[in-house]
Amino acid sequence: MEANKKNSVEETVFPVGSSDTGAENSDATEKDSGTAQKVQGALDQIAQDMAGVTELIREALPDEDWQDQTPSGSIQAPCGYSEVLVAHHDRGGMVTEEYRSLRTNLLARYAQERFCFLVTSAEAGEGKTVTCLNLAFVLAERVDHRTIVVDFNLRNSQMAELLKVPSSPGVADYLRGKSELSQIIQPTVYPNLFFIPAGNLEGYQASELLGRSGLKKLIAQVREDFDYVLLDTPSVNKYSDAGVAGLEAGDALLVVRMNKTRREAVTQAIQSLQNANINLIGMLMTHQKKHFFN
Amino acid sequence: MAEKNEEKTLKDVLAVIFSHYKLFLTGSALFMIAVMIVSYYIPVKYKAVSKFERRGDSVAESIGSNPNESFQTKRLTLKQELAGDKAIEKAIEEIGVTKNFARDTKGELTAESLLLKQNLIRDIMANVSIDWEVRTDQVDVVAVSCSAGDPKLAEQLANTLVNRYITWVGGKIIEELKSSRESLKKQVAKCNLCLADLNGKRVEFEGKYAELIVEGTNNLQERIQTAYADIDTLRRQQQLAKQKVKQIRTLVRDTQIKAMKEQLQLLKNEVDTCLTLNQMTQEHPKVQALYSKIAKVEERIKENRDAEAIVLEGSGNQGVDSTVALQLASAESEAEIITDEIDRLQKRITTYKAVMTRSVPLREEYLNITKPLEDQQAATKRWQNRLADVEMTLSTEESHRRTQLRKTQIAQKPTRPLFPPLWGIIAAAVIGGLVFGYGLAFFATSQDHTLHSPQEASEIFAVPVVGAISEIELNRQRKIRIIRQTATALLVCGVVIGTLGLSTYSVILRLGYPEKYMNWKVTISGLAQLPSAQGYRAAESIQ
Repeated sequence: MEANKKNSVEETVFPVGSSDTGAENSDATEKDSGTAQKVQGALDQIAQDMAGVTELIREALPDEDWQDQTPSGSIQAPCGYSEVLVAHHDRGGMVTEEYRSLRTNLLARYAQERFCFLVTSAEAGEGKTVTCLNLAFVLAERVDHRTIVVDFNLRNSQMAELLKVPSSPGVADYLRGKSELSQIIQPTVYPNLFFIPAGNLEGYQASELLGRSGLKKLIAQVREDFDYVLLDTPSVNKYSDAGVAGLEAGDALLVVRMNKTRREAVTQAIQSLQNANINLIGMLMTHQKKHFFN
Repeated sequence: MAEKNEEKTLKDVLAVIFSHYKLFLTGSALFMIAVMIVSYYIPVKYKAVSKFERRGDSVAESIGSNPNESFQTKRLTLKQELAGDKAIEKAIEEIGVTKNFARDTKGELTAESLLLKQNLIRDIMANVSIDWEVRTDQVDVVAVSCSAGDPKLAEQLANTLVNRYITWVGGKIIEELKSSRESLKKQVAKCNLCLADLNGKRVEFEGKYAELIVEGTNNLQERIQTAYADIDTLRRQQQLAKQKVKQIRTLVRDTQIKAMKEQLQLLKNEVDTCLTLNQMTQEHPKVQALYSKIAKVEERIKENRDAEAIVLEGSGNQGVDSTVALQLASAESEAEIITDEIDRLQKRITTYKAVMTRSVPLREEYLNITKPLEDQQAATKRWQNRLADVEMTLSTEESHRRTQLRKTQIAQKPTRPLFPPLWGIIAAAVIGGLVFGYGLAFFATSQDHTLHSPQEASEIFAVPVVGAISEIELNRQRKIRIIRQTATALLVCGVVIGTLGLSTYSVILRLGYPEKYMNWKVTISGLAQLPSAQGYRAAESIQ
């Protein structure tokens, strides 16, 4: 019920599936900016209060009772988001706290509290997409900041699947000129968090699409409209897509899966990013297994 | 990106093990199983020890060994005599090990059997050891250890070797003692002959130069002095005797003069009578005869007065008492005896002086005879003593009351094999397994080029690590993983622990409790055909 209410509010602010052009959307936004900001502030407050209430409930109830009520040990998802998005499902969990710690570290690196970087990895399957979304969820906790996640993994898009939303229209449609930016930006259950899926390639090559000038425009637009821009890209060592998107983003976060990714691959990825003149802001280690000797 | 070369600490070692604990445990267990299985096929060796003591025997040692030879030489000699190829060949023939060897029609061993026998002897020689448990001048305690795959064979070999050695040494000693006895007898006889010859010479010499030999120069001097003293005494006695004779003679002369004076007076009275009474003239014959007699008597009186002594003769002794005559004769005789004794002593003194002049060369000559005699006597006594010792030792040896060699410990049938050592195998399995498991884990770690910690990544790539996210595992995935891992672990652990336990139990039984092992093997009939069991049965059949 709460989620549906939020969706309806978001649709008011960002009309999804609208056939208006990007310029018109921009005008409408400017007109309703005062009202929208008020509504946005109210929604942020509600979301924050809800999160606090949930924490209070969880702290108040014994673990057994909590487990009885929520078999998975987490808040029942108000939507069909994948369970791996723990920052959404288990907001008080240890992993979520780790994402918050990541958020703090990133914010410390950007004094203006605005950033745009691509999330990539050396090889596939290291947790880029999950990391990207979970990080976006904890960034969305900052209600006075707007966050957007862009799925640039045109070849093997998984983000829409994790969010259980349609994968198009998306980046590919925008780059082909079939969709406007306002059409491809999708809301989430969080009012200040938005999502652009990969879209439908329809016979085009990903590298061909990413080479178009629309990419630069797309990234410039979202950087302007949002405080935090996260670009989910394919692995660096396999495809050059990250390099292309990175040229526009400027910064990159390298996701490394512990106990799996070989050092040589990581070295190669770092080298590739440096060659592409992309600033590597740091590495994020995933799949950490904690035991005594770690 | 540079890797650090730091010393490995215990924590690093444990980290390696824990990071690949499955590999470590599996590798360790597999190595242990492999050790157990390999040890199962190692041929077992049983050890039996027999001991004997060898006491010092001066007679036997002087015959049988060289006292100057080193201990190493003695040891090698003993090893050769006790466990040389000949000794072992005879021992295995006595035990009957070669009884079932193939033989030709003449009953002799075939070429293959001879080769087999030689190999057997060589193997046994390599498995016999001789150790000195005690080694002193008085007694040696020697332990003879025999190792063999068959416990009974080990026991029999040890006992047989020692028995044969004691018997052989006893026989050898008896033979040598007999030979020595004959030799000593000849030597004693030869010494006796030589002694008799020297004794004859000595007796002859002593008979010839008794006094010269018996008396020394000093004694002769003393004797001369004594003789002079005796002569002085005798001279005094002679003087007294002469005085006595003179006195008696004076007495006799006075008595005779008195008697003659009385006779003269009588004659004169008779003359007077004849002249006066009978009126006879001077010319009357009777008067003339009386005058003649008177003249004779007067002459005799005169002679007696002039003479110092008189000789009592016939009628001239008229008027001398016979007792006085006897005393005079006795005194004169005594004087003569003394005179003769003095002469004898003077002659002796003369002889002594002559002997003294010749005594030194004679003495040397005598010593030249007596010294070899004394030496010969000592040598003879020595040889006789040795002969007596040899005869006594020989009688002891012949009556089997040996004092030199004595068995102090009889080898018992060993109940547990000496080799391979049970605890050695267990230790090798455990230690080797741990090392092997760690080696595998270390190898896997060295081949693992993945990243294990944010610090490691930061150090290697010199790139800041902005975060570390734990592995996200859903409840359903966790349950499935736990079930799968538990089932796999149970299965693997069951198989590995079961195999390891079975093999360890088998090895412990085989090496620690062979009899129980055989019973167990019989129970598990399917395993009874293993080669080691057949070997053990073969050993049992020999028993």
